[in-house]
Amino acid sequence: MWGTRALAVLVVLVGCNTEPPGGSQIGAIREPDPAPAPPSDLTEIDMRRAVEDALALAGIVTTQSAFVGHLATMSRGSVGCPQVWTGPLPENLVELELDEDDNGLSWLADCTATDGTEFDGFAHWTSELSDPEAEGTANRTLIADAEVRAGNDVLWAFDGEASDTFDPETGTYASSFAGSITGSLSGLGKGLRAQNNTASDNGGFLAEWAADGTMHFSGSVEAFDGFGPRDTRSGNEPELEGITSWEKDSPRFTSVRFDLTFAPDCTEEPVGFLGLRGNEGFWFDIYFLPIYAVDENTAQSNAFPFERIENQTCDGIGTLFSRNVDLATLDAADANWEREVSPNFDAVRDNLPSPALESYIYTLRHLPEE
Amino acid sequence: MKRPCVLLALAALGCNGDEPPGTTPPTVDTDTGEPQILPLDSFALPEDTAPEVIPDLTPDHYVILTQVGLWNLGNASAPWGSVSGTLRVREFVDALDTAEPVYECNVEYTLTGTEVTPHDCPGCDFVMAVEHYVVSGDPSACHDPDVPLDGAVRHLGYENGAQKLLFDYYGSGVWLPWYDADRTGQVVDFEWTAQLGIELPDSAD
Repeated sequence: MWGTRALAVLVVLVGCNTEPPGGSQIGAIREPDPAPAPPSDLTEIDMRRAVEDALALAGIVTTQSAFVGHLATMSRGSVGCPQVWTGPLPENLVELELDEDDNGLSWLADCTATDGTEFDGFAHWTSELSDPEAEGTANRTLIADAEVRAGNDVLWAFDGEASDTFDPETGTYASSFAGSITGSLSGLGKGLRAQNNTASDNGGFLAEWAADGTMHFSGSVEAFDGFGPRDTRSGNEPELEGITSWEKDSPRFTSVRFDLTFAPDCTEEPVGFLGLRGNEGFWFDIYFLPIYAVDENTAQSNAFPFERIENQTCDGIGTLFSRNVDLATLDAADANWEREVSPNFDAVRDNLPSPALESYIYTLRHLPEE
Repeated sequence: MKRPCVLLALAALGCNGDEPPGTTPPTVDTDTGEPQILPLDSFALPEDTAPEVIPDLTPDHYVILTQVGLWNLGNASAPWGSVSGTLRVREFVDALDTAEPVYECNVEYTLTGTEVTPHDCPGCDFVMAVEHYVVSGDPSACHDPDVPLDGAVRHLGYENGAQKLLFDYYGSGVWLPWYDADRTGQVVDFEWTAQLGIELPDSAD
């Protein structure tokens, strides 16, 4: 079935002129692209809160979140369930590219511990504290396709890869997270899925911050609970027609894509943008300082509308586009609404959940004993 | 046999030549939520090759880890003042052939140290700063990543109530139960053992 569909799509693409008009790309604001209508509640949405909620979400799309549930489930194991391995797992079951000197631990099991906790799948992890005399950092990795249950309750399920480093002296934290996570011990509600789509980021959602106020978020996140302000629409709006999954009062947004970098010389406003996906499938993009020179005229730079943004100073103010529509006209026509958004970045920064050093410590002494 | 014709027909329907795009925006965005990928630095996400069903695999081989040591305390009663002693770390696969033992690692240390006062170990009766000298063997060959390297100084505390030696984990201030221990007079015996599954290079199916 999928082979036929894929072939059909391929034939369509080959048979058509795929060159976009005017050299524009996906996400570009270029004529003669049609001007799609923004959602009917555009001026009612608290976009400042939506952006702040999205940034709070970015702060928990981390290896820290993945490890919390992982270690919590390990504490529920018993001797032999899950059986813990040192070094690589059997290659015919799990393909993991590990260093020969890998001193990580793994479990690979379909078993029930003495307290009834069920382990299914595999996990491989490393955790290390550098010698403090060398003023080193803590780091850890986790690769898993695992589900741990207690009866019908999924305690922790993670399918993906994550790694992070933490310097307790400077408060510098850097995490890469690619995968999906659910489970009551994860502390993430219904869970989330995150990834990245650039080679430089190696496929993981990047979350980085330091005590000097710098932050960097890059990648895409889908929050299974949604986020942001409640949806106040009635359900009769045209943009909701045919969407059976929509529910009144549900969170207004489902996903977010980040490309934000706070540099030391401007901690008030990031370079880049974030795109929020509404629960009707529409995208709301907030652009801050330009990623590219506005007159660069490359395929990459033309994919972003920074040249349409008047405010390009370090003042913490972003500019909203909805469905790629420049909202300057709407802003001018509505005295009670503005397209500029000023998130409280200081509050976001203050609430970032830096990990505790203890969370990096998992030794062979932690394994269950007879 | 008719499928290619159908596909070509679909292909023709999919093309709109030089006609401008429709002017009526769709009321429902069909965006799947997947990230929009630009061509120059796009990255193919790895394919999930994990099997659907993982068997409850029993290892063909186990590595047995043992660490056994002895402290001789400097004074006949507290404060103990100093310590000297030995530690032997041995790791082997499955069972040890006593006639021709083969070890994954076999490291012998001598230990010297002085008492740390005051200390921050909750529950400890006393704490020693213990330096580890490798007499023989290679710690880097051991599977336990926390085997002390040559010259390592570790703060280890004795807790009589739990009969444990606790380790201030790499100076983090987190004290972990590290060895089962027993003090008799000026002598503290301690040990730790564990068993892990291991996939040997020649045992893969």
